[in-house]
Amino acid sequence: MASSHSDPAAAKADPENNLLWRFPQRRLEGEVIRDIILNAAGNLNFQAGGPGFFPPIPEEVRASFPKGKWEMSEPGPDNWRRSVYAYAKRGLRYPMFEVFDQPNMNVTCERRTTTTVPTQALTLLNNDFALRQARHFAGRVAALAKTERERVRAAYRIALSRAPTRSEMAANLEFLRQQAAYHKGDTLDALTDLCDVILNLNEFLYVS
Amino acid sequence: MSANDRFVSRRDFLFRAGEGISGVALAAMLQQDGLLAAGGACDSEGVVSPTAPQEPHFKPRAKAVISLFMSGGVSHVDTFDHKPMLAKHHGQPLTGKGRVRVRQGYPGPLMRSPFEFQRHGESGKLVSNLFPHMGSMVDDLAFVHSCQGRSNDHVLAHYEWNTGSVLMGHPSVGSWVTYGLGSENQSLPGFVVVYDHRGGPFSGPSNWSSGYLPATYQGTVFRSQGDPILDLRPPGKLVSPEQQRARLDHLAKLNHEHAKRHPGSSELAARIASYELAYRMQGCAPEAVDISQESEETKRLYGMDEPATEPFGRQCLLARRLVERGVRFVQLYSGALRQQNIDTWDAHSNLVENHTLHAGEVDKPIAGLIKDLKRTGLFDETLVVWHSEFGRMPISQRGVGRDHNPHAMTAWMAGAGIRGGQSIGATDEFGYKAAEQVLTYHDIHATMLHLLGIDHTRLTYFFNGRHMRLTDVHGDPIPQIVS
Repeated sequence: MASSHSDPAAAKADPENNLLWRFPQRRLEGEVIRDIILNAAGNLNFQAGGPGFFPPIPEEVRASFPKGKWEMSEPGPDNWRRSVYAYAKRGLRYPMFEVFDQPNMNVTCERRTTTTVPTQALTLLNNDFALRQARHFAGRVAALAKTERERVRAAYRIALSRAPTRSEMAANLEFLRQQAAYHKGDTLDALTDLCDVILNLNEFLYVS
Repeated sequence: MSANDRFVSRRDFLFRAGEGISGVALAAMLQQDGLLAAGGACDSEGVVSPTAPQEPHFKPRAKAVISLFMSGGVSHVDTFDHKPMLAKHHGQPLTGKGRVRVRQGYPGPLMRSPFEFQRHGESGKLVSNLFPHMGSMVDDLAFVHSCQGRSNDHVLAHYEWNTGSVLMGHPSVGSWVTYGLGSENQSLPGFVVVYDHRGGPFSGPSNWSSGYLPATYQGTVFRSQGDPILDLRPPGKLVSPEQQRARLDHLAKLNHEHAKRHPGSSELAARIASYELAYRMQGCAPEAVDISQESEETKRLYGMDEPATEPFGRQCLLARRLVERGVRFVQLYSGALRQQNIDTWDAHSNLVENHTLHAGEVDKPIAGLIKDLKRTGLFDETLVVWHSEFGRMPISQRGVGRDHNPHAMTAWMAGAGIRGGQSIGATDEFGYKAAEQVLTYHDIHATMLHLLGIDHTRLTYFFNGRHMRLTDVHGDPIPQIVS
């Protein structure tokens, strides 16, 4: 999202935003985070209605749940639908939603809390879903643009709806070079590293 | 408080306010080169999080809790609550106690314990031969014989033990404690659950749910082997450690540039820090569960050299390692909901076989844990609570088992400076109902909080128009324990 902190005078006069001179910053919900990751990867399935899908819940989580079945399927368009169609069980929440503060489903919730904890970072950094979608995102960007510079621009346009600043462009190009060297010249692997970073950016997860 | 924070809860506000103050420090820290290069260190200095340590209400006797949950219903009259009258009236009906309700519908006559009892320690406590090792530790344990629950259903009784309510959806005691006190180690979760090697207990993850408290206070399940936390490391060979470090460094660089364009946002700074914390966790959590660092002698103390006691021994040793590293609340389960009458303590049809199996699995490990806590100096600042969700009937079920009994049970507490060797409260002559100093789970919870320096009436969370409490509107600390 484009910066809305562009008024230095207002920032100086009202740094806490008490007078609402800018849109109050907020983090997206876990369900939305999943959707925008899929959307960036070009994989979000917009199929509306019908029975819900079972998001893949790891074995170690299902093991602690004594009863009921969770119909697992391989990652693919069937379970890349919008999060609103994710099957929900009162006692068993999809870990990615849960870690991003999805409320307990046994009680009413008048307002969600927002926490910032390292397990959220672990989820986005290491979760199989997030890593694979970063790869898809890179594939999409690679198909759209040829040069590294164009690819950085395309990735920013898709994920952040803006062009990179000059210094961001320089940093990203340097990162791509460094990672391509690490991957022995594989530019798609390097681009995957960058796309994964973009999906973890504060700017990607916050509306401001 | 900014206008958009008008509807933020007070607790939420405190977090943000806290972040705000330290957010400045964080932003300054992040500007220093090299912060992100450190990595791997298991300390959590300078870290701001909702689980940062909080001041207790008064001087605590304990810093951490280990809850040993014997899932399925341990028979108190066959373990720690010796009832000679059962032998005397063996085979006679239980009368004069009102209508006897059993869960499975086969109320038989009074049944003597098939186990022998022996006196132990200076206190002379009678303990059945199911628990020879725990028996040898009786002078360190304070027995509570008169606690009553509200449900004779496993699932509801699990909820009640863990949350104070028989209904699903309330925060568990571990969540309340972490909410109230935070955690000493920000590189590990504050509330950790390790369940039976055969699988999860009755009621599953709701046992360690944070209910209406923020999700950050829920229990984190640690597997006792391998990577303990979900998504701790990338699966398979998707990302190498060098690749991940490169990603993190680049992420920090871009995030930092973004933060400069959004001055004054503590949340952004906190999120940048959370990534570095996550990176540290990747090193610290596996280290915490790496039992190979322990000596063979220690492993033997926990019974890890015998196949029967190895799994629970591993759980107990893990509990000590976690508490040692500043984890606030550790809950271990014995008993998994697979084949209920075999894999849990639920001895409806096979009292001797069932309790011999499960007692044999936990007795030595638990005694080992107490001994190890004592020799490592952790005993005095750790509260150990041994309990089940309810007791069992003094009458037989088809001559071979005992049905559920929420009217009586035995729990014990140890450590935290509690005077050992005492027996608090008492059941009636048959062990059917708590009779003297009748207690509820609320009293147990109030006691646990008190030992941690928390006044249970003041630990509240505003939800649904009420200042909710772990103890609802009930509960008193047990005087013999907290005095």
